Amino acid sequence: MPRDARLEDDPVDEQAIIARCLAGERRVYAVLVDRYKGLVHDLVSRMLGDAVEAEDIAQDAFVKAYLSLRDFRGESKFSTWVCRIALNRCKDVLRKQGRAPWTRSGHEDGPQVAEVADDRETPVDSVERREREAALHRALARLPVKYREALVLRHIEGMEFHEIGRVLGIAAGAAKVRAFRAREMLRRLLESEGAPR
Amino acid sequence: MTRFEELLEGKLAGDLSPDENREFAALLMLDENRRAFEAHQQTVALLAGVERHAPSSSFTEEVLAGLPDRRSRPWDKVWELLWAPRVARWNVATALALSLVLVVTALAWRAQPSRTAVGPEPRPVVTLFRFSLNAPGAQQVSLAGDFNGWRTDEIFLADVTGRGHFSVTLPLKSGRYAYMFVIDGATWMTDPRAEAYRDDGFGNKNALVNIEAPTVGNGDT
Repeated sequence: MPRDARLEDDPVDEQAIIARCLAGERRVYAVLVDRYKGLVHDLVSRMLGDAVEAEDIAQDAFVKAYLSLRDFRGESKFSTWVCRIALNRCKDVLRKQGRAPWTRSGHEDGPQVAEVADDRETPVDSVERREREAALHRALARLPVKYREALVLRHIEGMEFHEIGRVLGIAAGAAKVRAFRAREMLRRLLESEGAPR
Repeated sequence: MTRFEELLEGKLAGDLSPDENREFAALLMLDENRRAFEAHQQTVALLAGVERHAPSSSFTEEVLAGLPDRRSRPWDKVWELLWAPRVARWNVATALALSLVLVVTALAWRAQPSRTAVGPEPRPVVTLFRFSLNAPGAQQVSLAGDFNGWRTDEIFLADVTGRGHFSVTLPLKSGRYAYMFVIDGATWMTDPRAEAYRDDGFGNKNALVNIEAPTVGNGDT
């Protein structure tokens, strides 16, 4: 699987940035936020199914990571660490609200699917694509959280299994099993919906 | 996972060896396996093709606005006041006046018959603290913490008895320090006898030590 460009980073450079943040240079933290905001925002958005709420939770995750920078020892990459913090925030939100994603009022029909279309896409293609994505998001939302997070990290965010293991606090082998089972569950859910493939 | 499922996962990740590829191809001769593989491929393609949910253009600024100012403490303000670069305007009259003050002060100092001896500058007070760990079988144990920027190759514990009881004594100024042991340069280990712990954000805990006494003494983890 090709690695996502957003996951490419320079750990040495990151250590220097973190040291400067700890020395009080708050503005330098913007480098890390800019580098990983797309990843963290997309991850949270997939987990919660609400782009507006995702913005707040992803920002919270970055603030929380900044406040805990002294505890970051550089054993893993900063991206892994901030993703873990973001996922924990997502689980808190889902637990407190006792809900699955996309079931709040105004979102019963699934999340807002991006309106980005290929120039060569016909109107029919566009409608089909949006239906396909909406069905996919509904199916994702019905997956248990532990399978959803493994699937999103692996196949949407493009992480390697050892990295997923670090984010989720499990072994790489266990992450592999979760991703496999999650794909099987997702396929069954999509088939039960009769979703266009 | 079955052998077929393991190979399927490896195939999707593109990291099968030539032998594994041959083994996988043989397993695909079964219709059931081929259908499963195709279904997984379709699901992966579907997930890989989803549109990204992009953050707003003000995302980073809003995060920065939510950060506390680490340098808002009073002594940081004093530090900044002392060290911030400034521009001083001067003229020849001011320079002559300053020179005169300096010369007069020096002459007055020399004219004094005797001066009180100046004692040695007080040395910063430190507490000697002994970090120790029982790690039978370990070749090397190092100590990383707030006090050395979490470097793992700087402070090594000694196994004086040769029985796996490693220890090192450090002079520490008063304060609260987080630390971990690193066994054989690879395995991070929390001190099982630490006085307190703090979550490290990875599901593990950093050990904490509080150095309070401003007198020379001994501690022992």
